[in-house]
Amino acid sequence: MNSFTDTWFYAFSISLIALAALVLFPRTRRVVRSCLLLVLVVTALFMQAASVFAEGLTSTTETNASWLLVALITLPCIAGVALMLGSLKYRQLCHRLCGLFMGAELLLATRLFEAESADAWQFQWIQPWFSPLGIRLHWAVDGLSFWLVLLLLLSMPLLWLAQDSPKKVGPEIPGPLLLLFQGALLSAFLAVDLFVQFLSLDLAVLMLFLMPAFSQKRSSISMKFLLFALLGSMLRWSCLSYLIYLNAQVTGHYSSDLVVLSHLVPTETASWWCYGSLSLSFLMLVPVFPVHHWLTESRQTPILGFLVSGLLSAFGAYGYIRVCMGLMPGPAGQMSAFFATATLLMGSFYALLLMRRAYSLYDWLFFSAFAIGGLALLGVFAATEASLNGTLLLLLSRGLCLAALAVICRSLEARSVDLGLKDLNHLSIAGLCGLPGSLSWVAQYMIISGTFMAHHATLARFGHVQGILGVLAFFCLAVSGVRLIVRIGLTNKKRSSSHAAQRLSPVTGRENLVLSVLIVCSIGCGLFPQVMLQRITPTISAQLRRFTEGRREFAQQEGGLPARSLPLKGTLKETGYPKHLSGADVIASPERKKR
Amino acid sequence: MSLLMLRWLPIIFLVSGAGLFLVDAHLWKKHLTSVQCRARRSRLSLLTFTSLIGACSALFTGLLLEFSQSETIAESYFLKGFQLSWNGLSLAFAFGLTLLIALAALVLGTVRAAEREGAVSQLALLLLAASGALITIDASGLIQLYIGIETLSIATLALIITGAPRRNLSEAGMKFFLFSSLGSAFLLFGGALLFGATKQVLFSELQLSISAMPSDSSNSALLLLGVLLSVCGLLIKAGVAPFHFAFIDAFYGTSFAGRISLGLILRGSATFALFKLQLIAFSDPRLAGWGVSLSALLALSAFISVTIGTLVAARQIAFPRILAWACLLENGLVLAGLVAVASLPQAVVWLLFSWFVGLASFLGLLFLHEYVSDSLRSEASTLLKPLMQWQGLIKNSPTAVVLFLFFFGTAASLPLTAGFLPKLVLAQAQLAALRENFLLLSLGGSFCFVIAYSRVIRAAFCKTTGSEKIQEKSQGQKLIFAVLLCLALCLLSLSIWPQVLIGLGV
Repeated sequence: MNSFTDTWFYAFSISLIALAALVLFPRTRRVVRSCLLLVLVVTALFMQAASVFAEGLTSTTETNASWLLVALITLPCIAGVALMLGSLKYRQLCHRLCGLFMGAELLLATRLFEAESADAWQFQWIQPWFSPLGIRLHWAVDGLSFWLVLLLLLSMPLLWLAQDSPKKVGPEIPGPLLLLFQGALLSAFLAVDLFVQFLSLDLAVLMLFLMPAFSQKRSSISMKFLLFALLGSMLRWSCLSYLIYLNAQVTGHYSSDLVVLSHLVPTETASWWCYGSLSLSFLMLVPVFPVHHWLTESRQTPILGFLVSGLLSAFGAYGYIRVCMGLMPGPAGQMSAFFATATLLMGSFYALLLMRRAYSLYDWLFFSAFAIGGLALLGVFAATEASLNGTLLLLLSRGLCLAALAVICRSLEARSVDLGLKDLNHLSIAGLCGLPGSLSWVAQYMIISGTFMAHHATLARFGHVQGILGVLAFFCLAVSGVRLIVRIGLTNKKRSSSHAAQRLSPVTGRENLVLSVLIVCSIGCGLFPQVMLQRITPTISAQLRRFTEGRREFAQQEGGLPARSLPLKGTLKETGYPKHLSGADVIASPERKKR
Repeated sequence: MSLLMLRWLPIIFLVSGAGLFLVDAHLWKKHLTSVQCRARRSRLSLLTFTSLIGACSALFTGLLLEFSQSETIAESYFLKGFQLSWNGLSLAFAFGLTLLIALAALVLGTVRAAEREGAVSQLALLLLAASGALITIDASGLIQLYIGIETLSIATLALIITGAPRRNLSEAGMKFFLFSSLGSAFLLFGGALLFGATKQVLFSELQLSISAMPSDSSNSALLLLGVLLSVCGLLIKAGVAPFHFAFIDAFYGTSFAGRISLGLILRGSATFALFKLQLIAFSDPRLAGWGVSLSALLALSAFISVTIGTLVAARQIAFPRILAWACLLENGLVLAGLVAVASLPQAVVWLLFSWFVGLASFLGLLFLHEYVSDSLRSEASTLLKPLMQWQGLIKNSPTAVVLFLFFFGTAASLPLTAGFLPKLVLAQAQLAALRENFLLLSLGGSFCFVIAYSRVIRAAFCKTTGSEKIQEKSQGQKLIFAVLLCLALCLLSLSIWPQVLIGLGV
């Protein structure tokens, strides 16, 4: 750990511990709180001194702590289960402890900054789990997942903070479920083994399914959401099962690891089938037209809405880049032009039209998420370095903006305000979606420029057309944002039918804190995008290189060649694999030949 | 202790348990006070549970001895680590089933036995059914199979009749009696024809005789008819479509004990016997060449079971009926697995494990139904307003809903449950055997389960509550809850640490 990271880590940890102490003991006397804070600061400083002393004793510095990811994943899962049992008796206390655990997670996550900015797995942790099928607990972080993981870890404690309202209506979603969801989605983001990723994602979806049922509002559960999630799960399972089998047939060894399976080149027909099921299952999460129906039914509560449209859909886009483009580059490249048009015309423009008809803030929030999802996918389908970078930034900015909007919705709802657009005037933050200087603006610019450059890559001669359509969509989105500000903020209050705006109680300190953090993050990242890009770019470049090579290999398969496996090349991402996997020869499947 | 002795020891345990019941009934034939009644009931429950645990211990000892044997089914990747012969598989399955029956007896003896007249005798019948199941599972020949399944059927019939409410008694009992008799007759007649054609009764020798029989033999017609009849007999006993009518009505019309016997013991044992018959005795490929493709028959049956099970279960409004039709769906999926892995006997262990997990989850769902039903005052209200007790259960008892989701997910082999990994290995086996259509059927089956239980899920997560809040005060409810938690924890641990399964046989 270098000195800068070290100082930052401890400064951040002290402030976080202080914040936790303030939240946990709100009614204690000021003197007691000050003493507590002092003790905590001294402890943290002592820890820092001890660590410096320990580093001086050892000759080598540990730069890659493999336990970190395991701790990040298992801590919320174990704490979630324990607190869920505990909350049967001590509900309030357990809810508060959840916040403490989320804070601890965020604190631990700061050590992720020790990772290098290279295309390699960082903090890699491997453990065999089910040997007959070669499934391993393999977690690691790289540039693609780095910022998304941080978004998840940052947004969860903020949302937890925003849950307590002035009128004490109780938490919208129980803390233990939030913790379990956090652990599961974190595992899905970090899993390199596709089977573990599949299981983790299913656990996260299950938590989302259970959240409305256990919330204070007792909103009804959406059966459609469950059916869509199960359909996606079934498609992923069938494809994964086939790929594991094919890999065993070709190499003689079972494995469900992403890197191993990405070296597998199935036959042309099999590739198309696998791509179809994988892409449908991931695009369903984003969501895109016409598999977006579940989204409209899941917009019941603001925070649940954020979890679905801010985090789960970010995972959908991430999964498409990582898994679909990684495993099936050929079909993914060939379908890009079609999907780019389809998501733009039938997704984004359709959502923009819907936004015009939105009568409540919830509707506006979800339709805008739907529209931005389509635009983010434009960057994915363009498949250039700039556009993919822009997509990741757009996902992050969407996460931050939606979190802020969810907090605002929650606070308004807690004050018993009708969320009709006519009565709201606290929503100027919505204008952040696309204003120059914000992260969204940078991301949009990169996506558009990347799309115009894509005529050499995937979009062929359609690149300019898609680019122009993208510009139009972004323009419409900006207009929609401005229109919302005009409708809410600049409307003459006397003309308003209700006077809800005048009755609002002042914004609490907690809400101010949460919103400030989110706004600072959004604007700060927009002003200094290079901080983020320097971690993302190496991974994206390598991913695109593999994507291009994979397309070339797939082109050879179109001649009717049997399935084969390419040998590992010994790159940084291919460390930690058994020897037999690195020397895979090109062997045709005997059974397939027979057929 | 020799293996032969161990083979009979569990049955001795169970039969002696049933005998002690009779002695007890003879001694206490007088009028008893309520305190004496309670004491007698608890004594008999303890006796039943002890007998079943004794049988379990004997089976487990046999299983440990079996591990030391050198005989193996096959050495392949799917079976890496498992070193079990058919004898070992039978012992393992019997051990698991007896353990489940012991749990059921524990609940039955303390909860339901007190409520109905003559319900104490159900415990003796349960012991008898368990001994029949052990004989059936352990059967190595046609005669032993027939004796076992007949013992089991008679005990089940008695349980159905004694447990049913008066108005359902005649219908459920009579339907089961008729169909069960038909199944027994098929099995007996089929066995006789097989003996006539091959002069053999043991499964292994039957296989040798069929292999050695010339293709133009005059006995081939007898043989084919015998094979068909015996398989149909077992399908009737297991309640697989298109022979499922008696199973559904009897299951709905009877009580907890009858449902345990019908849905758990009889279904499990008959299906296991079918596995044995199909994979040992009738494994010769020439049977297909002679005009009877057993695989085609079983595949047809599987397809009908899955289709009818899903479609009808989704339209049911009573939980026991949904459960009964879901059993049919589950049977179909197991048959599909059997057909798919018939050419890969290595995957049989995983199929059996998946089947056993299905049975355990069925028991969990049945327990849960009992637990939830206790919140209603009388049986009549359950019949008048089906699924009423499930409405808004999330508000009354969230833990019960989580348990329901877990057991339902296990039955459907959804991810994160113990049923999923065996299904995944089976999927690999199905792909290896070039049976992609069965893989699709298995995949669709998981989805079908969701459709079948959709009404229950919707009711459980409903806003309005239909029943009073479960206070969890009675001893019976606490016991059911504890048993349910134990069952769920066992299944959960298998899903979290699947390596344990591999380590079992090493």
